[in-house]
Amino acid sequence: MKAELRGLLSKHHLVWQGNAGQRREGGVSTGFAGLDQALPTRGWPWGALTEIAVPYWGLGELRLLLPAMVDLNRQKRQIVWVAPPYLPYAPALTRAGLDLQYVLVVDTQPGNVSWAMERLSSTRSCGMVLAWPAHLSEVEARRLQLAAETGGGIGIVMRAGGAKWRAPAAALRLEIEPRDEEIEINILKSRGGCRRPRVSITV
Amino acid sequence: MPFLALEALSVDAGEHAVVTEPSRRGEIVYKASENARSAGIGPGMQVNAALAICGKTRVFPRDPDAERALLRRLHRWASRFTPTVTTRPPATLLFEISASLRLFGGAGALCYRLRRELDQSGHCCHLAITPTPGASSLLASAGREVLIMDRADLRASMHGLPSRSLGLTDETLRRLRAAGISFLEELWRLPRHDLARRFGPEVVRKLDQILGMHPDPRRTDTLPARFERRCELEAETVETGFILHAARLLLEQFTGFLAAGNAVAGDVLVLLEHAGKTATRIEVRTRLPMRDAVQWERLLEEHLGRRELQAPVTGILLSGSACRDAAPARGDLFQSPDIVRDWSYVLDELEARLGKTCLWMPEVAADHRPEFAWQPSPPGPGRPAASAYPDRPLWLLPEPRQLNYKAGHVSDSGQINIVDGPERIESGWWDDNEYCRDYYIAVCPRGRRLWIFQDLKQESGWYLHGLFG
Repeated sequence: MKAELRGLLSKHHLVWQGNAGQRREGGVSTGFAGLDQALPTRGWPWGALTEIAVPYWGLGELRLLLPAMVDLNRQKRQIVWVAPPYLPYAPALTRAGLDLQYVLVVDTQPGNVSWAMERLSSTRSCGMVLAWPAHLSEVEARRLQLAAETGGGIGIVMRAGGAKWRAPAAALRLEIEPRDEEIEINILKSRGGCRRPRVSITV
Repeated sequence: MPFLALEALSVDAGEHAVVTEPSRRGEIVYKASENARSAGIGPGMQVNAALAICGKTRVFPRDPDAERALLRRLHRWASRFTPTVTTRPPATLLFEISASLRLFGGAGALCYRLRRELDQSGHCCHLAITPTPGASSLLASAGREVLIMDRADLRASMHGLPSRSLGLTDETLRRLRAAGISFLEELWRLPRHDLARRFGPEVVRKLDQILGMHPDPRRTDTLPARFERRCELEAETVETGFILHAARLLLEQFTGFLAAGNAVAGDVLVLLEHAGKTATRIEVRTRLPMRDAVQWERLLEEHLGRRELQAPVTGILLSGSACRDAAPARGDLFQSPDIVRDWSYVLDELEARLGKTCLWMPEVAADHRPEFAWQPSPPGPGRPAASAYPDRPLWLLPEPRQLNYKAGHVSDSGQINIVDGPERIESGWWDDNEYCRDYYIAVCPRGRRLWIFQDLKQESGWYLHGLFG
């Protein structure tokens, strides 16, 4: 196909193309080159839900997200933490370069986590909504994915090892495991294809 | 408004009707409807005479309260055209429209719109637009419809108006009559100083005011700033759906009230009345003042969902205050005003459902003790913080957790390696939370980085205080 023709088609999205690996939605860089390269969106996908599973909290899952948070924060987009398991510690967040004016914490009972996240994700002010649900049904996960599509931000649900639920509707599903000095990221699912199923990075 | 007295009593325009008022001579006709007038009934006529002329004439006593209420309603309606409205009882409304002309596309277009809207609501009016309030009210009361933009044309337009329409004292009027003067143009024909000498300076001043040669300040009526309305439920209920439905009607009235005054409101108070019990009070607050019935209803629904109603609700009382000069939501380079508005809507909804203390922004505080180096603050513009902090964990445990630590070994995590420390934090002698701790960063075999401390005041007091996330 000629380059001009291809340019025209992709510009107007007139023709649906089967090679979904070239999705037009971008992502915000994770700040880790290895992970960016493995993801089709070259970062955390915009307008989509991401599920991150860890065997236990405090493994480095926050440090994994921090560069993207700082990036979004600079654009004055809100970073919202829904029902975090511990207190997000203000001095450390400041040290990492976050402007706390755009950081919001929502404490809520387990029953309201999904509702709060859905409501927050569907606004355009939120850059990233992180939630630590104790439970998430498939329907709720689907709704969260739709809400993220509406709002255009990045939705992230965190799951600890023991939890029974999964978020199959999420566009990106990762599993993190500690490995010596590094963490190993297994990409369980990635909408639009995955270049490398396993990435090791140092956070 | 020539038939305001009739319209206030909701008398049909086509009817044969008169409104009467008491006088020394008994009940006399104050205002006659169009039909009655064409039959020969006029103001000042005895009621009996009117009935003699036309037997089927319906007679209504005048109701000044209803007239005032109607004027107020018209005032509220008129506020959409100009903020400067003066009501002049019994039946005149004065609008200052010079500043509104451009917005409404000129005096002609504005006139057309005023008349059409009044027609639709069943009111008859005479519109006079002139450069002075005096001339406008004089001409409109006389039933002359004019559109004069130039003061030079004023005098000609008032040709044939009786001098008593100036609103002079009876004594002055009597003297004018004695001098054979009964029309305005006759007054203008006389020399000014003569006029003042013979009939008093009042006459000259009034004439000058009409022509705009003397200032004629008018008091601007302000709309009431508070809205309060009750609605009784048809049956007492605890069903949120029924209560919301009734509240929706009240909220719509409230937004109508606000829209008329071009105002917004920051909070709405809803009282749910119970039979024989104190009312349940629900305060719906929003961070941005607004007039959005749908959003208020949504917030009210969240409040109701959280509240356990003690008794069935019999009625709803809704009240709120209008704040007029609220700045519209302001955006900046990254956030357009509607994004700012959306965000405040979401925060309001979360607060309504989860409670006020559930939303907070982490904020740094000037203290060396880790527990006091941060504080939750309500969402909103915060203080910028300095970023010169030592290495701190992203997660802080709400309470330090005691560790069973012995020679680098923790009972539930196994061997841990201290990679940094100690950092001594000894502070707080001024309050009850004085402590002396040595903080370390440790790595546990499962890959977590821990922030642990040894309490130097205790024997083997080791605690976990944070995780590096």
